[in-house]
Amino acid sequence: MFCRSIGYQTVLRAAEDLIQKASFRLPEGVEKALRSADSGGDGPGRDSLEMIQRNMDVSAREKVPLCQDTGLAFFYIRLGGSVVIEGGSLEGALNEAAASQYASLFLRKSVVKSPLRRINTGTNTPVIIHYEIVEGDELEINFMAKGGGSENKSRMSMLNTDAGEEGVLQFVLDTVTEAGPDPCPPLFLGIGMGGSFDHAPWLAKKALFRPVRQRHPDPLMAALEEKITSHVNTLSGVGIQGFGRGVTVLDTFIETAPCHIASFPLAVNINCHSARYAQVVL
Amino acid sequence: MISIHLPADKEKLLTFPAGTPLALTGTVFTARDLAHRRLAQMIRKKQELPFELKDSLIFYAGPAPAPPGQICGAIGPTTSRRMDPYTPLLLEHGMLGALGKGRRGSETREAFIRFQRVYLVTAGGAAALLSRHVRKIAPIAFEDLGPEAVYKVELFEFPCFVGLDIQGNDIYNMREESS
Repeated sequence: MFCRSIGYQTVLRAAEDLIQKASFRLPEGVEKALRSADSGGDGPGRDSLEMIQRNMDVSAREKVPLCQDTGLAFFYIRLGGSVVIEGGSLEGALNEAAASQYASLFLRKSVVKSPLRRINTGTNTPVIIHYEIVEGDELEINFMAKGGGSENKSRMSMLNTDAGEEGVLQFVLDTVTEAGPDPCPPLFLGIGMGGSFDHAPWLAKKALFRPVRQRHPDPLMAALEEKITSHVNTLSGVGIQGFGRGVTVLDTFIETAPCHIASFPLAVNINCHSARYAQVVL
Repeated sequence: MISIHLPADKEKLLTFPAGTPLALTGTVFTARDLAHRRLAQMIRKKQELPFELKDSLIFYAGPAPAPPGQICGAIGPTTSRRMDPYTPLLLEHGMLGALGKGRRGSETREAFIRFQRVYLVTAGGAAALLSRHVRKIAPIAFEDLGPEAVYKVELFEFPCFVGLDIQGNDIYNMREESS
């Protein structure tokens, strides 16, 4: 059987590059959405939006992280079935990349060893890794630095099977309204629909890796993404930084999976305006 | 935007309505989750605190380290509500006010009004920009907590807003009130 080998050092360097790329410069679509966001007129919302816009310039120019919460480090890996990592493990390379970059780029170490003991690991590791084994001989690495504020306000629910689009719209609206200013709006919403109790939240996270304005290939889901964005923007009253005016949601991304006949799992993973992610294919 | 210099303007600071944009100059102390837990324990055990809490402004923040040649790394507000369980106690012991982001619980709001103290807020996710409004920063206590240590921070024209004024008006409820 044909195998392609990729060296540990190659993976390490690639992951290090992604962390650097994501920490000081937002993806093009995110930056564009923030530059053209509706400020809602004079007031703290508009002032905050201007701060957020100027922040992007300072971060890129002076290499100061976009946010002091430089995040928990997430990796979403799509590993070709015929790829072999030579000289070490994939998990080892990703953790080493995070430990070295969070130190050398002066990013904040935001990981504690255990929720009860709460002792900082000092390295921002361990990272969180999601794997998909796919056909082929490529290794796709997606990195996301995700802050705690938006993660804290994310929600999951097992809806009734007849909840329909109405049920989805209501749950997402309630989640964003209840979150208010805390997850740092304007927001990006990752929606995981279907699967199971454990799978839906992962789908929601995975959805957040999709480029801004890229719609789901299924027209029904694509339309629902637009509907959710407009529904929440019309009814939540949250606004920029929760100050009540201007845009609340910049974009919504849905990922779906089949589910049990008794179930309608739904997860909303909120991302803050500083949506930091980057991708490389080896 | 109104310029406030601490400690000189500490009485004046209390006079502005919620929503007023401020440019804050002066010394503040950072404290977030674990630092609050420790401060509260020390107060309850009647131990001496590592800084003078009376008339101090607490900034709910855990900064990133400063890169070489720069004064301050990324710094910005964390969600204030997690500090609610400790805030009335700190207010009771003379805290001038707090700087963070997000709504406070009803007990905390009442405590701010009762002690006639002010809650300031600023934009989250603007930490590179905000770091340019820091003249000096150094850890002064709980250094074992890493980013959760208490840092003494000298702010310079730091942009923020009055979140809760002493009449109890809340920047996060202003849309309903004005429409």
